[in-house]
Amino acid sequence: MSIWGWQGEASARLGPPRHFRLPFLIAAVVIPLMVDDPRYMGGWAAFLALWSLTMVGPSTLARWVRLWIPLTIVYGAFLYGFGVATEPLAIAMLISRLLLALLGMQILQWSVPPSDVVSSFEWVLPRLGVSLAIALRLVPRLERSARWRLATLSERGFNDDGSTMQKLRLRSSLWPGWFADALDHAHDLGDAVQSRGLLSPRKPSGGVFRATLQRVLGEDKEERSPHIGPFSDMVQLGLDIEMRLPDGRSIGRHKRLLRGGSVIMLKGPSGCGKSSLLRVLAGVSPWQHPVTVHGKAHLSGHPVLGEVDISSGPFTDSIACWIPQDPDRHGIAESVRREFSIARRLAGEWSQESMLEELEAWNLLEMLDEKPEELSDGEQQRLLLAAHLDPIQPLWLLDEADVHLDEVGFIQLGKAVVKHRARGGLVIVVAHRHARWSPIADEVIEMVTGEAPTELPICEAPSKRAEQEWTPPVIRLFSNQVEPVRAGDLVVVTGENGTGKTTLLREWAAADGIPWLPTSPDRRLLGMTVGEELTMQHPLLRQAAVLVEGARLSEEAKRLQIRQSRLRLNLGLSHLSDVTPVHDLSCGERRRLSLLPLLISEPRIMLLDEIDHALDDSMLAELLRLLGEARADGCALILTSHSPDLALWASMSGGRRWLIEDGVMSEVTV
Amino acid sequence: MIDLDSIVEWSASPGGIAIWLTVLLGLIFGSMLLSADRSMKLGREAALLALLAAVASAARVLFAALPNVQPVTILILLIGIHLGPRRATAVAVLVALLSNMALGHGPWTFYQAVAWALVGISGWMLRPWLVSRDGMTVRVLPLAILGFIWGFLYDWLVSITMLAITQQVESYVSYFMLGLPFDLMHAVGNVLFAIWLAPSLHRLLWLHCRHDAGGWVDDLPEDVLRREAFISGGSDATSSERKSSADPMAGIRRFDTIDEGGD
Repeated sequence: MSIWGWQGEASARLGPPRHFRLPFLIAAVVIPLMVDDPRYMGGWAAFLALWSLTMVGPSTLARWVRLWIPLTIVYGAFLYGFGVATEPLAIAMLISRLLLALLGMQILQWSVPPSDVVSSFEWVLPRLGVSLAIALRLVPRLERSARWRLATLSERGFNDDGSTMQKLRLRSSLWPGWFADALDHAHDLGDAVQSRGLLSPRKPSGGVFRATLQRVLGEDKEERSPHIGPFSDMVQLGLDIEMRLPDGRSIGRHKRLLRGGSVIMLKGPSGCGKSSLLRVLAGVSPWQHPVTVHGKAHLSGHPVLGEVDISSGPFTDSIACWIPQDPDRHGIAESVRREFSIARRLAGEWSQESMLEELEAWNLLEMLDEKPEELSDGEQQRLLLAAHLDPIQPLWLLDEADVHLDEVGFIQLGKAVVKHRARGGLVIVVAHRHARWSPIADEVIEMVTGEAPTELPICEAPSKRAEQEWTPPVIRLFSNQVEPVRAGDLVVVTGENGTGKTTLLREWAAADGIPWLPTSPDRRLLGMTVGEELTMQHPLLRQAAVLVEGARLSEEAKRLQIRQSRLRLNLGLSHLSDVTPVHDLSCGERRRLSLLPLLISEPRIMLLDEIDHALDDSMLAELLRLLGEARADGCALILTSHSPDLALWASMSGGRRWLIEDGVMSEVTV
Repeated sequence: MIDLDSIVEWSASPGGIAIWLTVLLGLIFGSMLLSADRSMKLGREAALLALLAAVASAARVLFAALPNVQPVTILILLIGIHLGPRRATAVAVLVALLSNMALGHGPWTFYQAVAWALVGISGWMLRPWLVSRDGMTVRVLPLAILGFIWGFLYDWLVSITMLAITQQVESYVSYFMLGLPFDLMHAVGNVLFAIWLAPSLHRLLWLHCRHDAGGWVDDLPEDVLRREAFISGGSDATSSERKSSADPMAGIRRFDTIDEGGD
């Protein structure tokens, strides 16, 4: 079980009942102090020991005893030495008091789930309760992030040389990048909290006492009247804004009136300000990077808030439903069930039936007690959509919300969007793959005008192939019925959400030491700034960066530097300043930056998860051209994707397709 | 009848001192926490506190194998310097709650939270000595000295737990003596963490604070107004020209009850 105290649901059931926890805590501390008779003390000790034995079993209790008995004996020896008590019985009583108070508190610790600690905390300190909930979510993420970084170092060949001290120095140099990533994740969670109105005063639900307490503590009594039906007022969004970076560079001028009852699709290259615009409209910090927004934005027809002057933010209430990129960074709860309960608390009363209907519709019913981080990207995306597509909000902002969804998931999202439009809601969608949204979108807004449509370049198989072969590993999720991969092969792996595409790549990479690129770019970025990241992309590049002046650079290091510069230019990263923090870049830019080390190292096989995620058409075309070059040199490419365009491109390029379906991965003839 | 003399006598006894000191610290600490909670308006602020608490707690658990060597004290000192006493207090309580989920809760949880809150407050009060004049770099030597002092003070404050439980000054003294080698380890650990962590953590907190540089400006930039006026055929850009029929706000003006009164 977790080292963080709680020993699971079974212990929770055997612990003190919910409303008796505080009296039990007081009793656990006070009873040992009050009792003077050793017989009563013994009785209380036996009672607590029996209870904890039943609750957590002998091994956990023995671990506790092993820790605390020696400490208290040492303490007793000191008491004797200082003459606090000379009678052995008196010393034994003092030690027993301490031990029993500790055991009483430990029983609570073993039995109270962390989410109950958060709930209790939220009673008195609601906003700090949100902080505690986020912190509980961040602790395991910090641990995983550290593991990803060490794995990335190893994948890039950093651990093979150098003394122990050099290795230690290398590892300790990772911590600023690790912390910067955690800070960025925390910002994302904070934005999610803000956009969902979690910081707004709660509607008291615990009767008069709780209402009085909230009033005493300065909480306003909020009366929210959710009305899920057609929007009574005309929903309109007026924009007259310009967004600028600190250097004065504009990242978007928007002057238009958008009306409810429509679906608007935003198009444009990576980094042109699409996600920043959605952030502004969601009322969360528009300055993900220090962006200044000039002008006015106004939303009318909100059923709860009426007129919203967006420029008067930040808001503690939710003013729009915002589904951001990267679902693994925006879920707030420790389980699927709790994510739903948060959404239900905010969106007003959901009947149990309607919640179950949503879970069923999004194919999440069997995952109710799962941890969100253990779900696949597609399942996490479905969880976010199912829990947080809020029908009360007239304005829906979907930032590449379909990227991780399979066809079934996208149909479900499409249905929800069309239903919302029919009710008079306004839906703004950011998408790079337009084919899915084109039939639904009423209007397409080009963020950068004059972009020529780009065709994906066909890549040729090499005329001569090496004999080397790779076989995908056997994993527990499905059985393999596919041929081995040969040098120069191109394989696209397809399948529904949760079938195990990412698991296949991850386990294959671990088993055969093959470089792979996960969907989330942050799992492969090590530096805090662009400059640090570039030097950490290869051991020779790092050596070159720390060379003393006048020292001679090796030919191989020079070649790598030139290759890195060429790839930066090709992937549209050459304009980035070395001092720019990595997390100031857009998702697409970070994704391309995380691709560089793979392309630099020229591996014989590459595993790429959802390669088209966050890339615009022209950048995807350029990337596919580079991959085509690698393939022509004999590199085998294994890609996963939900995009029909990419599957078509692969078939036209003479690639193979593996389909994971019904627990079997098989070759599909294309 | 309440005997005032006996209350006065009790309050001067070791147990009485422990209790009223606990109540006093609790009141100060509670009011700081309430103030921190009520002043929080941004999700990012809540998330930053959560992150700092998560990092500090994870680090405390990570270093648990080394008795009393943990970076929490230095982290909270730096938080006090950069983010102020209220937020440092909030992080202190979160760290005490979170890390003791792994290391064991007890009456000391309260005293640990209070002691760390005082660490953060001291960082804020001594800020002029701990950072450079322009605020861009942290002075490691004064920070390490303060960290060394807090290594002892912190543990003595937490030892009040024993005074409150046993109500005997002798047991406090023996607990205090028992802890001296551990206090020294805490103090030395703080010095090492100050040297290792302070410069980069300072830089990272700056990463968060720089986001405040962004924001809303009601007026559009002059160059944008001129360019759009030129495109639409005008020669000069004024605010009245912007409120032409092409103004997207004109369409929703009728709903805008806030602005109607002012126009």
